[in-house]
Amino acid sequence: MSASPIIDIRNLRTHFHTEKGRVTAVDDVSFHVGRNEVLGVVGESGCGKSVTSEAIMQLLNPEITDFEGEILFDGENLLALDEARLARIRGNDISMIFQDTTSSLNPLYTVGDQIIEALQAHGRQSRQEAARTALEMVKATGIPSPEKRLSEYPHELSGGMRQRIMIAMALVCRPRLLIADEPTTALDVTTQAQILDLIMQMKAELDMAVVFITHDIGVVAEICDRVAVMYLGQVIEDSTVESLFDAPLHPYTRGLMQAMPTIESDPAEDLYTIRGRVPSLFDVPTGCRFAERCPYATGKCRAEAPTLEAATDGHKVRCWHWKAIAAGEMTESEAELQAG
Amino acid sequence: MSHATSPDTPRASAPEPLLRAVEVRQHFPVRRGFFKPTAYVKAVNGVSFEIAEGETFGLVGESGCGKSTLGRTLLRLVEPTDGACFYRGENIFEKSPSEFARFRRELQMVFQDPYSSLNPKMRVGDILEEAMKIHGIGTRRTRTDRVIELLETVGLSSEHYFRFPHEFSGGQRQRIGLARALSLSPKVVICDETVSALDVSIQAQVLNLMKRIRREFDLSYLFISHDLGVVKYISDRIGVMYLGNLVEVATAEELFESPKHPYTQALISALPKTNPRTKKERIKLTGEVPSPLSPPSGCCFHTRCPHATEICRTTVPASRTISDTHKVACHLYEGRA
Repeated sequence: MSASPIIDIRNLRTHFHTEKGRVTAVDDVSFHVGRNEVLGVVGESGCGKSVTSEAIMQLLNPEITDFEGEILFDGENLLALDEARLARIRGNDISMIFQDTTSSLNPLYTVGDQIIEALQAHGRQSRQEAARTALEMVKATGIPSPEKRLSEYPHELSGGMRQRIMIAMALVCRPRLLIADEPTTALDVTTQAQILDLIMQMKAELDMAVVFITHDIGVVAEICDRVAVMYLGQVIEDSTVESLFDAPLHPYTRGLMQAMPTIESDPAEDLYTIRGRVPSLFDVPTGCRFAERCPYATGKCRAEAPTLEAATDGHKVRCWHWKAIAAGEMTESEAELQAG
Repeated sequence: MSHATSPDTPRASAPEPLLRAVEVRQHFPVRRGFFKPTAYVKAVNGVSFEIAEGETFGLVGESGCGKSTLGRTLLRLVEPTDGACFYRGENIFEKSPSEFARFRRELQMVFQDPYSSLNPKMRVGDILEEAMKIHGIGTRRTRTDRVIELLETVGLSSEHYFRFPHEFSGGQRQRIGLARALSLSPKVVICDETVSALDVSIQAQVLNLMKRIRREFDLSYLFISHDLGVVKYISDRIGVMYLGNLVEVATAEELFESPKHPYTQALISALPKTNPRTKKERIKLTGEVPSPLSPPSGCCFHTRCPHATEICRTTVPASRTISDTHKVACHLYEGRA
């Protein structure tokens, strides 16, 4: 990468104090996003992908959360900033959109008022100016009859339209980084395709970087430049999209890609399954966190935790045996192939 | 009301299928004011299809297309507005509630939400026994044995008998939902978005389990989902719904290899690609799904269809036969109506 990254996360750890004790939801996560780059963060429920993004936005309750590490946004450590400086960055330089548009919009205000509020909170625009900017932004998201829509309430809009409003609101201050947390998960495929197009179009227009959090590896193939795969609070693979799809190195990534039924899956064959389920964060395994579900696991995996090492240029993996697995020198044991 | 809109009208010569829905309609009244006439949400608007013994029929479509309402209507969880549903040749829509109880044993359902579909105050064993109790099957002892057997069938174990639903993960709860549906030895199980809320790795486990159960219990599934990949994987035949209408029915391979209806084509082209290196042309649909309160005249898809012509705006397309196993309701195609 030529220029410095827009966001550079270094050894981030987040600890929550809960009634049941301390949990580390994100444990030693490092990744960076280049300017104008789209990074996909992939993983299943509980892998820490949302907590990581909420840490970037500093949305986590500081009373119950401890942080370690650094989140450098344009060289500035977000974890060390005071609330006033953060408030200027949040929404202005870094914006976020969420999966659940119903609870992200205020049901008592028109969507126009909410976009204007976002503008006025950050700029010194008059209400008229802000209204004009809001209209331009909503027009840019491709909503039909935008003037009319601005005077409507969230419940009058469909899910796809609400997500367009959320995008308009997030982008109205022209941020340099957009964090999109499963923005299309609740949407139908045809609407999802429209929203992905819109995000990519806005990214080009505003020259911004995007962190796209998703559980859907297909969406990653569609829009991302690079991917970080997360499992139980750690990044286990970090790669360019092409390299990941050509040759996924981590057994978990391989399993995830094969377990998803696509229209190319053979209906006569059972789906590939990853046995067991994700362990609790209260009971994190020593050694490799994936070991007890991994078909290649050895004694070493259960005893010692691997680090994220560079496999090839631009492709990192956290696995002791990636070389042997990639070379076909290790095979899955019989028991693991069993279905269900 | 228009008729003959559905592409899957059975041929007279064919043997009676296990389940046959004929022109099923579900219209919900909406009162808009004291003096205004009552409007109707036409959630299901004349849908016909059939499911053979041991077959999995997939029903796909986007939210609001009526696929879940159709599933619920077939089991009379909501009473149908019109139409018929034949199970082994008998119209179950005409049965009295007491007569219908007999059929409900053979027609079961698994719901989407694994959290709200299990009573949080009941132990899993009691949840699984309840349906057998209601239908007066077995003695206490044999029912308990059966519950333990069911738990093992779905990949749980007898130690789960006394547990409560909150002690289980989403995937395990869907296994319990499946076990409950199986407790009455049904012939048809309607699965409404059964794996949609699950993570990919858990989804694969449950899908494999559902396939195994289908073989072992010789079941037919009506598999309702918005996920085309999942539906393609599990179904023998697939019906595509749009705005309360079944617009296309074909075998799983035919539907994905040569989709005929412009809506099916758009739906398939909108799927995310499976490899970042492939280039894919997407058919872009404009506009939004119209309200089922006032569906468009003529073809229900004409407001968004890239190929719409005058006839589409005025005339409801009849079902055309593309092949013995492939039918489409669209004016673009000739063929036997």
